Amino acid sequence: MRYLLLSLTLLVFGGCQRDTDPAGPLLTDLYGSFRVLEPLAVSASQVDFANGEQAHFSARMSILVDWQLQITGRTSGAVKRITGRSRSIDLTNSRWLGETTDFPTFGIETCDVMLTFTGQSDTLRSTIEVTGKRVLEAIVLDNFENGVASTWIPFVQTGAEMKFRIDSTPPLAEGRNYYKMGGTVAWDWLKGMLTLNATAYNSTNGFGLPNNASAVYFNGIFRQRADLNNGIILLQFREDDNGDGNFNQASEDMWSVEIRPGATWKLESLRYSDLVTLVNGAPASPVGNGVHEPHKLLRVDVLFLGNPTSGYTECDMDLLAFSLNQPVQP
Amino acid sequence: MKGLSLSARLQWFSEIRGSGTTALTQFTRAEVTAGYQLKKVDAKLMYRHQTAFRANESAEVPTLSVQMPWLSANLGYQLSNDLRFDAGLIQVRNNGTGFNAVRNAQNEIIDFTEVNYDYTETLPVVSVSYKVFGKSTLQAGMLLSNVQQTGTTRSIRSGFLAYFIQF
Repeated sequence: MRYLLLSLTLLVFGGCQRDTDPAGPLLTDLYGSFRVLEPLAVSASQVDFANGEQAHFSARMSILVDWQLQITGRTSGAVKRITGRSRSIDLTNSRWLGETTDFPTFGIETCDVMLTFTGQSDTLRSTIEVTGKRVLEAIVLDNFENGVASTWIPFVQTGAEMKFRIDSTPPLAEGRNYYKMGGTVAWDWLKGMLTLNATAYNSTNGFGLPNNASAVYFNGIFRQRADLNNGIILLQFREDDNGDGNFNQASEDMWSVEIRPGATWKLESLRYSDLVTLVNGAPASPVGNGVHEPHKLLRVDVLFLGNPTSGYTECDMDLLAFSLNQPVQP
Repeated sequence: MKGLSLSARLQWFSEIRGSGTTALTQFTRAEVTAGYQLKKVDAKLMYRHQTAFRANESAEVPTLSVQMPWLSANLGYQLSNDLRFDAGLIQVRNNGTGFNAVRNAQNEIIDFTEVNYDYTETLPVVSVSYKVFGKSTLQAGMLLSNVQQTGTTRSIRSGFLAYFIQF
């Protein structure tokens, strides 16, 4: 009986499936010495993002390490950073579709690629040539490359040093041009605005947005003159709740958001379902049916505001666009 | 010699899954116990040497090697048929190099930190045991843990209540 029990115990123990992978990170990754086993390589010397091409990078290291790939456009100064923690860099963790981390966006240019590792002095370098710019997957209202689109209705207050115009002075955001708004209006918060009606954008389909508000994003790239902080960009989205082709401010929803840009270009991506009703800048109850209905969007307004007692104010904007399912990635 | 007992024990254990390496840590334990009983008084002295060892594959990874010599002394007094008093002292020395596992909220190991053990833990313990019925015992006691490490001393006092059933 005793031997039978012993045999059964050994049988059960021996028959157990056990996990042979070590638990936790490998000690050799934590304590081993860093070496570059395979140098930095680029998947292709040229990449045409406009044609749907993509690039990736490869390298192999001896231990698990935090790394950063930085791609810098020689002409534009655009920067794309890809970071990771791994022993190898390959398609799965270094794919580049032409998007930008620090504005401006990449142009058709040669880019320097630099691979660095946290805590290591090694720096690996290569180059890649962009032969076609990335095509945005977005409903672009305006990127101001060809002036202000004729579909916008501009309004500029009477004031001093009023600047509502296209500018191309670096630093740039998307492309070569952006829209500058500035001025002193001592008697009103509103300095100027741009209005875009859905019918003007597309007489048949309007903005062409779906009815799922959580899948719709409004995107824009904004900045403020570095020595100023009094500028406010107010975005307003008016819905035609009752479908009569008009907006009634007493009975239909107008969703808003205020943006106070910083000194450097920054992409703001706002989920449509997160927009609120604002009254004098403070959240308030919706006026209409209270439902976010992007497919009923009738009009988009971009208002440039500033405290009338604060003097001159100036902000820039670029790439106003709706995107679906995710923020736009310029 | 009447009332004297001696026992020795050797044990070996192994990890079944490596921690941070495919090499498995091996644990050994050698123990010698001497006991002496004189009427209602009994005394026990135990020495145990416990080790954990794993030779790491890479020269850059420190070898895991921890020694834990134990010394335990216990003096018991049978107050009545059902009641017993014990006073003991356990001293454990920890010495060597090991790795502490850092875990996340899902209890997965996310990191290891190398630890150099060099301390002595002293545990005085007193307890009273009461044989409730048959082979079951209720025990209440007090345990003091005193850890002496270079430059620091930590002390924890714990009360305990236990119920044993012996099969």
